[in-house]
Amino acid sequence: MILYTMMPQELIFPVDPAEYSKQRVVQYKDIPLLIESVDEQHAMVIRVMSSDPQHFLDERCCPGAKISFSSLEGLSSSHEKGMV
Amino acid sequence: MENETTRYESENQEDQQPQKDDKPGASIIEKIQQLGQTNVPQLSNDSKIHCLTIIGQIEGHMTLPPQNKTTKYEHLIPQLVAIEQNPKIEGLIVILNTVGGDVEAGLAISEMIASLSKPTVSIVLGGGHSIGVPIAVSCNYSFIAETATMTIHPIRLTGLVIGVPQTFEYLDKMQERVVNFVIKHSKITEETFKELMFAKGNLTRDIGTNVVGTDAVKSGLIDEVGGIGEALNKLNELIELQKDQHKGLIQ
Repeated sequence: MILYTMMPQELIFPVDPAEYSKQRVVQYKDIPLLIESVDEQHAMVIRVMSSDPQHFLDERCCPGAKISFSSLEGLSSSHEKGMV
Repeated sequence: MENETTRYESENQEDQQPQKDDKPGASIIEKIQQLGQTNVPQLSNDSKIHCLTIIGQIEGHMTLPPQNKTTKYEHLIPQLVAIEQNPKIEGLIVILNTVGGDVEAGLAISEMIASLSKPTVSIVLGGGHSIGVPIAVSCNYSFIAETATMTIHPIRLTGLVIGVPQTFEYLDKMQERVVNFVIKHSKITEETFKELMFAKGNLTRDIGTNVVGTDAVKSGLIDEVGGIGEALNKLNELIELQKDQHKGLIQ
């Protein structure tokens, strides 16, 4: 389907707001990670947000790895911190 | 000190393992992965060259849905501040593979990179389209892979347009900002850049040009054709040059 319009796609087909809350940025051993929760205890790493190339060699937090929420510092995401 | 930290980390891992093993849902593959996991040697905690990846879309004021791959300025700008502040970091490499995106966010990132006091080298791999162009030229030295492309086109606006003459003027000014930034930070002349920007018949449904690797270098937009090896060599060279200059100042 081709829509001939100036409007961006996300304005025409809005995404469910719940989709946005799935992903968040957390600190894991001082490495900023973008995670998505898999179940109540575990989250999957989507992206390493660090600029330090050494962090990308760490197998514990490579994209796709599962990390438990208990290993995250204080369970706070940077977005939540920003809102306070 | 380093030994202590690695010991602490390995203890931490051991703590986590029994938890996961107890879980009935844990598959055999997961267990094998757990047992077969090796520790990556931790050479040093700080790398002297940091790497910024500009990927997917450059996100502006609106958060794009999570399935989009985006570069967020609220992530990049604090990282750039940290890179500037940390004395252990000596250089920055910017890797681009972007389709472009928000003009103001892109210009903000470009200005931040251009004003860093540390040596910066950019490399365009795949594509550095539209607002990716000012980001690529904002570094001290820029590289492009031979097969990589950059689309140069006029600024477009998506969304509602209220007050057409004013909007047009606003867009024109916005475009001037991009053009000025690019000609200030690269060897391309204003005439050539605008010629590429307003060329007809190159892109479907749009005006502009898609410049590939060597063409980008020929037009003066990018400094050199090369890959990651050349880019890192150049960065190390620039770091040494800056060190020498600092030594000279002290003497």
